[in-house]
Amino acid sequence: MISVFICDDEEAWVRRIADAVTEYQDICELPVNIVCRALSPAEVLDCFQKAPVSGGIYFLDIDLKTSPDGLELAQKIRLLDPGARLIFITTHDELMAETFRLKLQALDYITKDKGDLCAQVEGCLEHVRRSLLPTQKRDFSVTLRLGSLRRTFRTEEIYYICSVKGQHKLEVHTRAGIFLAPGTLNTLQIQLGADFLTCSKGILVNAAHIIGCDASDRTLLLDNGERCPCSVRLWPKIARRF
Amino acid sequence: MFLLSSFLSAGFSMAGFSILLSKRMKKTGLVLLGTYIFLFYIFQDASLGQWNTLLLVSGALVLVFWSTEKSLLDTFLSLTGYLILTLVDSLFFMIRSWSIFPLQRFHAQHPIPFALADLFLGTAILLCLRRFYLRLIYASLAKASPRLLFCFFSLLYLCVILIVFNFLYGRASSFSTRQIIINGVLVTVLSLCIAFVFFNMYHLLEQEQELSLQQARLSVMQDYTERMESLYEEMRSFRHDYKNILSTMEHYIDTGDVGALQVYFHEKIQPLEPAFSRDSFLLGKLHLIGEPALKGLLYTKLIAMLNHRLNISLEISERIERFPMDNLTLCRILGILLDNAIEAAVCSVGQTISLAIIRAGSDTLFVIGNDSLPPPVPVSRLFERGCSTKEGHAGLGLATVRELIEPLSNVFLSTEWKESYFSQTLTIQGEELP
Repeated sequence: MISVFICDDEEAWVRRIADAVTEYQDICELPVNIVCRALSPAEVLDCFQKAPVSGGIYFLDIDLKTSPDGLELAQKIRLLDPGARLIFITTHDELMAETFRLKLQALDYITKDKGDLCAQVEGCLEHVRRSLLPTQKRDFSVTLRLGSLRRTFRTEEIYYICSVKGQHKLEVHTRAGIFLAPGTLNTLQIQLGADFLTCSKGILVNAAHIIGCDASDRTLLLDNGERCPCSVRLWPKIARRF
Repeated sequence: MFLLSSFLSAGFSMAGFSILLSKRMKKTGLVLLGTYIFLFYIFQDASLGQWNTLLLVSGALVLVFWSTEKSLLDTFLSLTGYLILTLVDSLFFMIRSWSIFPLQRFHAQHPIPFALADLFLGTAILLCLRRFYLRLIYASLAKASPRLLFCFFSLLYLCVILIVFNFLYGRASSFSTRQIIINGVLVTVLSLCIAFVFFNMYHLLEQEQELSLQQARLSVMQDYTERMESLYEEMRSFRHDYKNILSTMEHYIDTGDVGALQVYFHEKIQPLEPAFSRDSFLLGKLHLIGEPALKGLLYTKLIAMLNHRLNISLEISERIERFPMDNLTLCRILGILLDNAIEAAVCSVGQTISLAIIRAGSDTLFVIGNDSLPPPVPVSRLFERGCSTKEGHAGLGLATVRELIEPLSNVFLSTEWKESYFSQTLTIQGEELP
């Protein structure tokens, strides 16, 4: 049973969301239980302290005219229940999608002035339901930390990783883009395994993406059109292989 | 003996040409320069007389220009270094000639110790100059206009010519000491005057630039204030409407006329929603930015977005004061990223652009996103110098961003293109400065 907390300073909205949750529960058989219908953050925290839960679903209005406000409440909940699934209730003008996602790792949000509340709540709960399905076998992946943020890459989407000269920084080149994060290559090399080759000092390249090599400037050609420079010392060995 | 003295002279010139440079020369460049100067001293054609020195200087400067990636400033500094050493050398000559000891005779008999002393003293002077003065102003010198640099470069070159034909030539063809010294003093005074004029002019230009920057900032802030004032006016008129609405509703409720109340609500109140212009509301969010330069930059970029009628999303959740990063660098980076985002969003289908400024723990995040057509090259290649997705553009923007970020150990940029959305996240690590 997943516990659901709803907090909005207007009772009508608490009721409407609770109704939508119940309705979804009946259709999709998601085992949820509304344990708290609160009008203020203090009530939510009280309720939580009486019966702590983990991995609960929290519908929180961000514009509670109280202290702590919705964002601060969310931060507190995140500390108390690290697996919390946060869903914010907001208006179009107050919407802060990136802040919700990056700062509070929010699952989703509901906009009051968008209409069709039921469909929005259903969308959020559907999101939760899918996250509960047994996951398929995990691919190999590496996780890089950047301050409080984490970023996980599947090894197959990485093209190459190079260290920034004179800095403890890594530059990860993937299918989607480039990511900079603090770190050193040595620790990553062990995690990445044998698919990754050192082609020059400070560059680890994914062998699966190499399609050829160019002897004129000693570079490896990757299947996304990028080129990766090779050192003089390692060139003969790598050129023979590709 | 000849080899040794040539080696010392070459070392002397080499020091002059290379010590004052603002960035390191390529290793190959340094080796080439050294070899060139050394070989020149050995194989120079004595019949050319002082033309040799001019040839030496010109050749060395070409080499420096090439090996510092065509930096006019470094070539200029290189020539300055050489000139300073030559002047130091001439000063030593004057001291020797005027000294009560017969130093000049010693010099003629034992040139090597004197050359060594020249080399050490000259190098020390240049190193001090670099360490205590130039290093502090390299960054601002780099902004000097190429035209100004070129003018002064020509003047310095003229000085070198004067020195060569008045002083060195004089020494070689035994002018009287008096004549040589007068020439030396004249050339030294001229060189110092040029240096004086250059630095004054340079500082003057710098001040003027700063002034015009301030003026631009002021006009942006004025514009911003006007917008906020008009928002206040809108709010005042809304307050008036709102009181009217309340009293009308009160009347309907008191008389129990629910039907009339319903009609009134749907016809009069609901359409009132867009009473505030969304533009001013959006710009008002900038009040959370405490840093005037950043606020000004964001304001101008938001106005540009509004002018292009883009769908804008702006998120600033907390008050943002200062960052553990140079303000000007941050503004340059954000300026480039936002300009790119605006241009790409204008050409895209969805025309959406978003900017979020988030404080997460001790980090500050700037998340810039825009709808975009798929980039024609892999995302990571966009950062290469000369790579541009737009026709007729030099493709310097993102390359500059990369150069600005590279030396900063607490600043990280991630760039991503996914499902026709391009997003860039700039992370500044560390606490806010007090």
